[in-house]
Amino acid sequence: MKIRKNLVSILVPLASVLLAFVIGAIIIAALGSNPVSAVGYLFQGAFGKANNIASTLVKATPLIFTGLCACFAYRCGVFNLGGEGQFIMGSIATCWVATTWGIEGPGATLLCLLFGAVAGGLWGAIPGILKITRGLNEMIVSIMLNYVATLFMGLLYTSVLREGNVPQTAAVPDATQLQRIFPDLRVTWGIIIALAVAAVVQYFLFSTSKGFQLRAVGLNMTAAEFNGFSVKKYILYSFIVSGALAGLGGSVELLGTQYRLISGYAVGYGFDGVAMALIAQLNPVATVVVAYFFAVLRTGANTMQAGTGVPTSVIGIIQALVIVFAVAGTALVKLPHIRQWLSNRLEKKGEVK
Amino acid sequence: MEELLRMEHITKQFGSVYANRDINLDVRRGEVHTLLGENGAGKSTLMNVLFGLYQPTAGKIYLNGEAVKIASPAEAVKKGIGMVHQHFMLVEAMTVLENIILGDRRTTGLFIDKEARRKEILELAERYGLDVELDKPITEIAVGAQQRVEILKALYRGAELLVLDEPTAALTDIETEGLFAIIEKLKSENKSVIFISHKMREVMKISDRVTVLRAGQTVCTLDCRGTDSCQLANLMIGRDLAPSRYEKIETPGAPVMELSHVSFHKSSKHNGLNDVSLTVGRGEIVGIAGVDGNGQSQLAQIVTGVLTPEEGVVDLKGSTVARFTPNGFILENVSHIPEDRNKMGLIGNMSVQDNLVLKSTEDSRFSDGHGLHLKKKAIHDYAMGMQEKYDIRCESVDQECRNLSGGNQQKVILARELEGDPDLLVAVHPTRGLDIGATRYVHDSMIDARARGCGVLLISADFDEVLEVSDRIIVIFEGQIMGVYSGKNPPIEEIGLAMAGK
Repeated sequence: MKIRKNLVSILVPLASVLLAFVIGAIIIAALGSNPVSAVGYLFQGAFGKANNIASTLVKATPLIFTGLCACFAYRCGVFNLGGEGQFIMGSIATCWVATTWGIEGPGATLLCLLFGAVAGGLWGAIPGILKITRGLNEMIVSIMLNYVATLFMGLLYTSVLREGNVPQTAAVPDATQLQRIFPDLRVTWGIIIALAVAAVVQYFLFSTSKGFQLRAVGLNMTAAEFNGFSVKKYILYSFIVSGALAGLGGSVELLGTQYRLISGYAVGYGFDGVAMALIAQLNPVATVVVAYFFAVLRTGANTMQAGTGVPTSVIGIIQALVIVFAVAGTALVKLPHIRQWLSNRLEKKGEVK
Repeated sequence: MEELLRMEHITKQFGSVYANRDINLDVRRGEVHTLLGENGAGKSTLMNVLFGLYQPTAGKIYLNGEAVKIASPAEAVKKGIGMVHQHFMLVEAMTVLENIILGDRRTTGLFIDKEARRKEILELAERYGLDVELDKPITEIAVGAQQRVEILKALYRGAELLVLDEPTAALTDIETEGLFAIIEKLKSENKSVIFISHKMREVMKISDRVTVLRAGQTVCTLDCRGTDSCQLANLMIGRDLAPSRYEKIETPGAPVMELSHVSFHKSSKHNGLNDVSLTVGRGEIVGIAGVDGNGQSQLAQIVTGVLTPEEGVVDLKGSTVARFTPNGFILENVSHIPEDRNKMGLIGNMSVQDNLVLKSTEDSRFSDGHGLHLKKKAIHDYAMGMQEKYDIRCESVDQECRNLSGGNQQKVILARELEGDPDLLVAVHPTRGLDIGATRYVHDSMIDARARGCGVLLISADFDEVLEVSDRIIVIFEGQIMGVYSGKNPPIEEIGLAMAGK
């Protein structure tokens, strides 16, 4: 029973990826290029040299954080669509500590990470508090707060945190930046932090009592209430933790990759995270895998464009198709007659074995 | 009088459960025919068959002497059957006029001639004395007026037969008088009404004939003039009861829970409690009898900490409860079999084993460090033990609970709630929808708990069940306690009348 279910939950995303690539190949062929060589360039760009692999990991890091952010809140049955705003608030707090406190070094790095997580958590608490006290829809509040955060960041890099005449902040001092794991490769300790956080989230959700209760709240709030869990508390805490995950991601991104706040920073990360959490069916480890896959597509896209002239937007189309197919596929296998058909098929297979 | 509707040998089966079994009903033109029966007696199923929502497993429906097949509500409407549901089906943001013409065949074109429709509706309203304000939105009119809109809606679609499903449940006394005047008017215009209710007073007042249903079967059809409410109550509840299989306890132990003068939403007859005082002692089963929707849900939720009473005091094991939270009651060792096992009792998407340990994952048996690390092996072994002990039939304890049958789901809840040796067990409709075997299992479990010194508060709309296991029987009606009776040789007729509010 369990194996069967897991099988389906892996097959659906795989089939979605395959289908998306087939359609992507048709588009590439229609543009007059050879799909096989285009995909070849794509993977060469993502894996070809050690530094390409490193770039992919760098691109994956923020996506892992926002994916975990969405995943955590969904597990508690609430929808945090404000990952981007929480990511930005984490970055802002980090930038503020790193560039205006006059401290440098590993200690400053830790402090920056802490402030990033706290800022993201506080920003995430707002929709949570409004939901449990006033019953406001958390999706709308959290989306709106994205705009507030983006515009607040704009205000900062054009006024109080501006460096010189350019609309951007000062860079994080070299000693405070996240260091590279290998001196020759671009990848920093940020990816290690991301993987560690994913492992902690996975452990919390599936191996602790509080994580168990949080999932129970997410699956049936009324029953959870009747069985003595304080549903409102779980909703608020899940929003805070979810926001803190995104905020920590923002901190890592600023300290390890971007170094300064600038127009266009972090655009789209929040919604990417939501999509990835859905494809991963709210499993933290799977979210990491999906985030990595998206990063592969993004790093490879540039090489593909340079090698074959196929525009990177084709990769954007493939990404979107993966999301559409995965979400539709997950819903599809839950339909009663499809489920019946699947379980019949899989049972037969089992008998043959 | 000419016959309008005849339902012959209607049987409706859900899985192995019969909701209707060989039911006969005939309705004449211009009569008010009451369907009387307890909750779960099969009234709603029968009406859903009539309205085309369900297809009967067996049986025939005749309209005006012709056999008909009613495949959908739309077809029922076309054939002149109108239904006014207990919960109105109105679009709240729209006006009365819009609600009445909504979806009617005269308004399916591109444009709607509202003035012509308004004239038709006003004529109809005048004829039947249905006083409504056509341009007010639904949200701004009273419940009684909303009901008139529903009736008008049905008449506008040409209903010859009107089904009123517990129409007086939400009405005030004056509104009820108004409704009865309308029903009289309908009768005089030769329309027929099927009236569903379990309020004796009203049934006696308005009906011409009464068909009594019990446990999915027709008991009899009586002329109203030849009967009285006492006879009807007895027919509805059923007097042919086998004596209880269980020994009844007459001297309970020390009180484990005491309610004194508890009130909640006092003015609401059907969702409130009014000055309720009762005691549950150790080692006794107190049964709350009453027709569903007389405050039982509220009582159950107060004694499990889900709701906070507005007045009065609840004492638990000798100390007064200050804060009402479900967790507080669980910590006081109060167990709860909630009325809706899927919605309130189980996490359907979680496995059997997860549901078994739902409340106790922080226990040192199931986790290290107060919940820091779950001992999955220990949980699994425990669940296997419970599966054996409570005879939970499932493929494996990893199976999701929602895939279990109702009886096995209830056993999962029983295993969880009874395993900790509770001081008080609150069981609400614990056997609703279960077959005989599972029902007996639940009853035996309650008796076993009683033997271990647990106080049991059984709240059930199934009167047979209350009689079967209760040591003391308390009757509740419209949120008030009507009487307390011994469970040993209970005065059934007296209790039946108390349940009907007399």
